[in-house]
Amino acid sequence: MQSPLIRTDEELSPLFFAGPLLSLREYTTVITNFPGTNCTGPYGATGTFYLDVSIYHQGKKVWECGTAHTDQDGVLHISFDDFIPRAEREIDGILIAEFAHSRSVPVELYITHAHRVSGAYVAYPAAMFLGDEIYSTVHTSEMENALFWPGLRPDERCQHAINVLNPFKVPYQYQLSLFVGDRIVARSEPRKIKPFHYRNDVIEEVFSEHMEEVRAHAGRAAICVSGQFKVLANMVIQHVASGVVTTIDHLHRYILV
Amino acid sequence: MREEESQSRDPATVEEVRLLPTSESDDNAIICFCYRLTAGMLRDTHRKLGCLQEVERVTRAGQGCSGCQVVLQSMFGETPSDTHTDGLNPMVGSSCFKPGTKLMKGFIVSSDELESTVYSSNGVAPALGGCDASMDVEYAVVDHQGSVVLSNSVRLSTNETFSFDTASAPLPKPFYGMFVMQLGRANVGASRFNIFWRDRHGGASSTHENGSTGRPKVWLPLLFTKETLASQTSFHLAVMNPHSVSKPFTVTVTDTRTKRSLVWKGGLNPYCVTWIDVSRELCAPALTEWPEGRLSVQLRTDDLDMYTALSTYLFTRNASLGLWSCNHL
Repeated sequence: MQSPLIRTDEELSPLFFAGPLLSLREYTTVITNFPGTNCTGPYGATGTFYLDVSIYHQGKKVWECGTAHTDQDGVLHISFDDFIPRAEREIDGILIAEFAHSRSVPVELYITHAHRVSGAYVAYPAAMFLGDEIYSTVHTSEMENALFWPGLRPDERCQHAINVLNPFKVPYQYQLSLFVGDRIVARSEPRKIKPFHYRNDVIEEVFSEHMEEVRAHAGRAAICVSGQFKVLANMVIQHVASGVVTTIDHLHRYILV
Repeated sequence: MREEESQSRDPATVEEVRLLPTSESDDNAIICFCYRLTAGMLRDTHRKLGCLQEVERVTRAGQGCSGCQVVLQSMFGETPSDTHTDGLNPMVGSSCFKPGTKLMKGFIVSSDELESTVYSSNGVAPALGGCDASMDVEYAVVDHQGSVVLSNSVRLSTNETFSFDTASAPLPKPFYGMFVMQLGRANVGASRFNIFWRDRHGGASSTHENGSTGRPKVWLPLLFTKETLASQTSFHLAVMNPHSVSKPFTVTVTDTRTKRSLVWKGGLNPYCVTWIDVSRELCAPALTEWPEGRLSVQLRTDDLDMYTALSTYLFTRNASLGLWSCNHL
C-alpha cells in the first residue's frame, strides 16, 4: 500500500483539477474557466495561463488534448468534440487538468455537459487538488477529508449517486454516512477506488433500507463522504425513465465560506 | 448508529477489504495523516494492546480529521470511536470555528411545471464528534419585484436538515423569486443550502446557494440556430439581483458568422429577479434578421466582479420528455 507524500514546506505546486466525465457519446463536453477576481492580463498566447487536460478511462490515460491557453479575455474553452473522433466517444471516466501560471491566480475550472438528445445542461466545477501530495496545514484547516450534501428528493422517479474520484496515484478509501433528521442512521462499508478511477454509489441502493425513512422526512436528509485524505466528490442526479443526468454538483465543505 | 454492521457483507465489499495491506512491506504507508502514524506503527500497537479502542487512546489514530477511520476499520475489523474524548482534537479552533452570520440566497420558482425545495443541513464534520452546533435560522421569500412575501425563523439542532417547499407555501403561481436564509451561528457547524427544482415528470435538478455572488460575464453553452429553435428543447434564463442596489445588465445576441449583434439593455432593482425565454424573446428576433445565423448569447454586467454581479441560472425544457434541467451559470 502506498500513501501520498506529506509536504512540509507548504509551497503549493501547480494546480490540478479533477472531475467526472459522462459518456461523450451521449453528452457534449466543454471545459471552460472563470479567471477570478484578481486575475489581470495579458492573457492568451502571450499571457500566463496554460492548461493540460488528460482523460482517464478505467484507470488509463486515453486522451490528451495538449496545451491550451486562454483567449484575450482570459477565457479558456475546450470542446471535446473538437479533438475526440465521433467513433471513439464511448468513454466515460475522469478528467485531470494541470493548470500552470506564473502568478498566484485563482481559477475556477468548469466542466459542462449538454445531453445531445434532450438538451439537458449540467455544469460543475472541477475539484481542485494539489497533486499527489498532502499539505498538512491545508489538510487540517480545511477539513478536506469530509464533504456533505444536504437534501435528497423523495421521488422514485429520480436517482441520486455520489461520484467519488481518485485522481491520485495511490488507492483511495472512503465511507458514506446517511443523516436523516438530526442523526446518522447508517454508514456504508468502506469503499476503495483504484488510482485514476471513479466510483458511483447510488444512494437509493447503498441505503435502500433507509429510503422509506428519507421519504417520511420529506427528503430532509444529508449525505456525508469521509475519505482517507482529500475528498473529491460530486452528487449526480439522474431522471430514471429517460436516463438523462440533470445535475452534477460538488458537495460542500464543513466550514463556513 | 451503525445499523448495517449486523448485515451480511456483499461479495464486492469482501473483495475490497481483502485488498487492504497485509504484508510487512506496507509498514511504511502512512495511515493517519494528522498524527503521522504508519501502518507498521499501528499494527505493532494493536498487537500489543489488543483492540482498536486502545490504539486510538494511545496513538490518537483517527482522532484528528477522522479521515483514516475508514482504513482503521478495514485494517482491524473493529469500529473506530465516533467521538473525541481526549479534548485534544486539533480541529476545534481551526478555520472551522467561524462564528457569525451568513447570508445565503438562491432562485426559486413555483409554476404549473416547476416547484422548488430548499434543503440546508446544519452539518458538523465527523471530525468534530458530538459538539453542539444548534442555531437559529431566519428565512424569507422575496418575490420578483423585491418584496418579502413571507418570513419565518426556526431553530435547528446539530446535523438537522431544514427544508422549504414552494408547493406547500402560500405563494401565487407562477412565482419567481429569491430564497434568503440567514444563520445566527456561534459554533462550529457548517451550512450551505441546495435548491432542488423539480418538474411534474420526476426530473430534478439541484444547485447550491451562491451567497451574493455571480458572474459578470456569462455565455450560454451553445450556439442557437433555426434548428435549435425548431427542436424539442427550449432555453430560459433566470437572472437574480441578490444585492441591495440596482444593477444594469446587457444581453447580446451575436451571429458568429457575420459578427452582427442585437443588444438588449435591462436592469434589476434590489433583490428582484427576471425570467427570460431565450428561445422566444432573444433568439427568434435575431433569426428573423439572420435566418442562417449561428447565435451566441451573452449576458454581461460590466464593471462588476463576482461579488457584485448578478446571479444567473440556465433552465432547459425538453417538450417531448417534459424534462427540465437547471444550473447556475
